[in-house]
Amino acid sequence: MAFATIDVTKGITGTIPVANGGTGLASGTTGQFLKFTGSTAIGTGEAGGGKVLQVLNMLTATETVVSNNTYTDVGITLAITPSSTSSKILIIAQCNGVGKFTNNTFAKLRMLRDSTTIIDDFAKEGGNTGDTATNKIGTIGTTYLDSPSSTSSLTYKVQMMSGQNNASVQCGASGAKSTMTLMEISV
Amino acid sequence: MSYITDIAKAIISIKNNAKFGVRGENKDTKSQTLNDCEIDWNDGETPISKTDIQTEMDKL
Repeated sequence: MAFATIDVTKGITGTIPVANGGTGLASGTTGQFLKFTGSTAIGTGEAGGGKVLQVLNMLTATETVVSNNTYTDVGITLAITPSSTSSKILIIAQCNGVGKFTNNTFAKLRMLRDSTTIIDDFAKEGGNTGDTATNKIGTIGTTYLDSPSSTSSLTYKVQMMSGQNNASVQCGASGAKSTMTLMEISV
Repeated sequence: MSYITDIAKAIISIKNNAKFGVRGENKDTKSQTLNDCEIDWNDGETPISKTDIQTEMDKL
């Protein structure tokens, strides 16, 4: 039995309703997606939350030694300008070649946005042995979702200090390279 | 030991309880001199000149 065929390019006007398996739309918008706007209505709209708007990355071969308990820059720093105040910034930082260099101490690290501490002591007791032995522990990293509520340029950076005075800690030892990645996420 | 740790050792050799942070590129990735490195003198520490640090590095 032969099926009849219909040429839909001719003789049909209007739109096919959602309830009949259509979209109910006469046209779409470039770059947008179809989405339900009601139980039987479809419209076009922007992609949903979680969209990655920009990704920035840096790598540094900076080596840093800190001899006392004052937080000091370690060269892991990256700036980003969010496109919206509602955006979140996903921070991924990898501090490599971290360890204790001299005497009885340990490494502490923190994350700053400009001059604001956003993660205090994301590493603590790093490399601690309780004695004066050198102890290189390798990688210390952190991941954090920040809500800066800003469209100004923001600089994220890692700082390190020695848990004790007169004792040194190190980041970037033995040629280790550290990285930071920033992602602006729409919500 | 690296160039940065050599600098740190020289500073500690000059002043055992010096409060500082020293920062620079790893020597295996960049040829550098003392002038290429940054030294933060923390907590009001009296800076030691790079000339004195270099002299101490040459001794060690």
